[in-house]
Amino acid sequence: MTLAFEQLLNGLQLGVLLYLVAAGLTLVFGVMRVVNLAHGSFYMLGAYFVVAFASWTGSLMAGAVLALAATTAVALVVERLVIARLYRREPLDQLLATFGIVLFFDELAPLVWGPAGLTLALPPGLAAGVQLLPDLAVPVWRLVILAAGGLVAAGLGIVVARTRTGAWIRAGAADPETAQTLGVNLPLLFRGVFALGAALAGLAGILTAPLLTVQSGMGNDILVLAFVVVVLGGLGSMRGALAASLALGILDTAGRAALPELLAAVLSPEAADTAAPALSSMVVYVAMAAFLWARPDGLFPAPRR
Amino acid sequence: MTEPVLSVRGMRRRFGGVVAVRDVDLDVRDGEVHAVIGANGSGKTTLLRMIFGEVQPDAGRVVLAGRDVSELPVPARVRAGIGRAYQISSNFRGMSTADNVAFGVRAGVGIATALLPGAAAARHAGERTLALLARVGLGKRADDLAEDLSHGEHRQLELAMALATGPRVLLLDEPFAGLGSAEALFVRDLIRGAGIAVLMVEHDLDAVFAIADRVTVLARGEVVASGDPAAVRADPAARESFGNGAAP
Amino acid sequence: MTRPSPAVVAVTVLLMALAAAPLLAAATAQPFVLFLLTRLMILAIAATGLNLVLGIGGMPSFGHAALVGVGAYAAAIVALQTGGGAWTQTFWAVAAATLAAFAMGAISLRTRGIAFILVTLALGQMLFFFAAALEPLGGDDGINVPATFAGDAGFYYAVFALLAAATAATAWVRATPFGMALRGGAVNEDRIAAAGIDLPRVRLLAFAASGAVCGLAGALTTFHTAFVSPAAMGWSRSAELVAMVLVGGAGAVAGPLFGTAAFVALEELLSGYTTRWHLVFGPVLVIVVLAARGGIAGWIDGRTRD
Repeated sequence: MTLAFEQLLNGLQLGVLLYLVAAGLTLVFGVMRVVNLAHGSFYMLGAYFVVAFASWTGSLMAGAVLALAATTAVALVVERLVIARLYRREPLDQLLATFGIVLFFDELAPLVWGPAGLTLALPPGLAAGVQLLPDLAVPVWRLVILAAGGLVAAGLGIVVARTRTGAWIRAGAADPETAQTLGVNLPLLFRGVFALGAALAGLAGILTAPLLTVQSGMGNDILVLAFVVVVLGGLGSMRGALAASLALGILDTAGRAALPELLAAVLSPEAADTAAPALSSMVVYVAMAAFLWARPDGLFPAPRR
Repeated sequence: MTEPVLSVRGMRRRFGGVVAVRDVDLDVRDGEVHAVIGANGSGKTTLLRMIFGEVQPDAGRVVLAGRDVSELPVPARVRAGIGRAYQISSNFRGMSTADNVAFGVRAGVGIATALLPGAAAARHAGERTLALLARVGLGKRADDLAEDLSHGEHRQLELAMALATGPRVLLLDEPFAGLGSAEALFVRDLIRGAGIAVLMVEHDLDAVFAIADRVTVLARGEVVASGDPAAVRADPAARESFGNGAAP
Repeated sequence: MTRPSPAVVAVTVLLMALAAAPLLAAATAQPFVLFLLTRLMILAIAATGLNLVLGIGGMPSFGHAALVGVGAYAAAIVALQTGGGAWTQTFWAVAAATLAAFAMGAISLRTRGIAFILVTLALGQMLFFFAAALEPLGGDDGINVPATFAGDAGFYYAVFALLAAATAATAWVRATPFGMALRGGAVNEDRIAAAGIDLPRVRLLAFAASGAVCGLAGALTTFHTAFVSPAAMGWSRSAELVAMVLVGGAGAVAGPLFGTAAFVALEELLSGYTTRWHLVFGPVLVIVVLAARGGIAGWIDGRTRD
């Protein structure tokens, strides 16, 4: 019971992080029709920046704020230099150009911060456990991640559905040409949406940084998972991204928890031990393949533009 | 009266809250030109696309020469004997005129034999392609790129492409749109001379009444009149739907 | 038949240069050059396989490096587990990659456009994780495979002949009804269906055939490096293959060869200065994509037309 609850929390945590990355991808794709392979780079940069700024300022919170600002600033430069020239191009051109950006940042990060991975220690207050169940203590930071994800999901929903900016975003997604004639400043809207998406990915990187080793290429693995989320949710659908993120997060965690025991039943213990991690990485992809077989357009197919 | 070669029953389709086509029945007989007319948004094109399998109907059956093809995908309907020409010239502009027609000619040959360039089947396909081009008046344009054709020639190419699959029924989407009178006469004779059943959706009422053996009038997705051209022309409901002054 | 296009002339010259290279390498005592050129040619074979779906069929797969990897692993498994020779290894490499491509195509071809790209990418990543799970084969680290060919000129010429054959096969398939249907489908799916052609089946066959070519390239990689590792199967390697095809000129018969040559030359040039050559290569790729259309093959043909 305790174990299941703990796994559920782990699954939700992965789901929330996935959502933060996938929400940015979905926004950028939904409004600009750009698929950005470099989206994972902003996740990585967020993580590197928070380590750097936290040690510089001596405060995790100050470091997180600075890291978010820095990631967004980098995104604005990238948008100005490359992405803005890709809006009217073929998807393949977009993918290749943004792939060039991935190569650049994956090489730049170890040059700036050293080839060895970095770690970020949580201050005692955030590392301390909260007694959720009699025999289960969960670090405060993990609850922060869940709360941040929940707030962003709710916040995005409100911004897109209720505010003036959201109306621009929806108009831009539905029909950019008409939106422009109605007075929407498209270049500015595009820049803003791109920066917002990158900031969300950066936030995911910042939240993850204390939990793992920050290293070059860390954005690429979560990027592929976020792609799976985007496809399963239905391209451009925010609620689809939310549902698919949480489902995949829980599925992946459940697979990692259950697979070693299942494998141990058929393989020798050593073989099961070594094969389980990689095989459990496959679980979400197998699920994706099965789901797409039945519903090629995903959970919430977007209306064709 | 002969059995209809194409028989459409109870076709229905909604888009969102709008009923585009409501319970349409239609028959096309061998050698007959059946025209469907109606204002913009009357559901003509949706009906045509449903018969061809490009749009899935909410209800309704399509029977071709006694065979129910309602569940078949587009290529299978084509092989069963339904041909289709398009309203917008969307042929393969970077390829030669002959290559455009050859797609349909070779489709029946099959993938395996299609891989052997020198085979007898391929030679036969080449001859048939040239014969079709000659028939629609493009005999001298076989090796020219499709993008170099005039608007009227594109129409002729459309017809050749549709005839290439050897259809029993030809579905034509506004074959006279944008044609000059000489070109229109030529296309009209082509359609009449095709010698197969034709179901056409058309805006040009003069052309319709000049060549159609049977006319069906659609309004807001429903059949308001159907019969031989003279009767339809006299029908008050039909007159109302295509507007005063438009009808001759 | 009209005069051969400049791109055809260029690819012929390139192939003749590759054919003469071993003599040059022997004369100048630079065996490293042969190793590099062999790598280039194997990559070009893989890119030729990808060109069938990406360039000719308009199906942008971002999972093809994984198919090359399936071939490489199959060849390695045959050598390690059964001690089978080069023919057996090649057979199983091609068979396994064809099967994997068939499955990948069957799933991904249910989707369109961007989703297709992302699904091929994800399925490639799935194969990557599967290879990493093969613990008897070294898992993440990969494993050494007994060398089948010891860097001899015979192997060089075998790879050369296969590359020439793959290039010629591309030219031939492009002109067959099958290839025409594939090209037509890349432009307008509806019209191909209206011609009575079962386009999904044509595409699936093309995808499987492209997997077969990539499987062959995989087996050759195993022969060439006597080593297999999942690292060669990741999505960024697939993206590199796509870059080679597009930079060379998608759909053009010579495109993969041009693109691979440009890629390997740039890599050699840059990595001579720094190990962090991606720092330059990344921006170069961005600039090439933003500036160029039609790739190298299109550029060569276009210049002479003006």
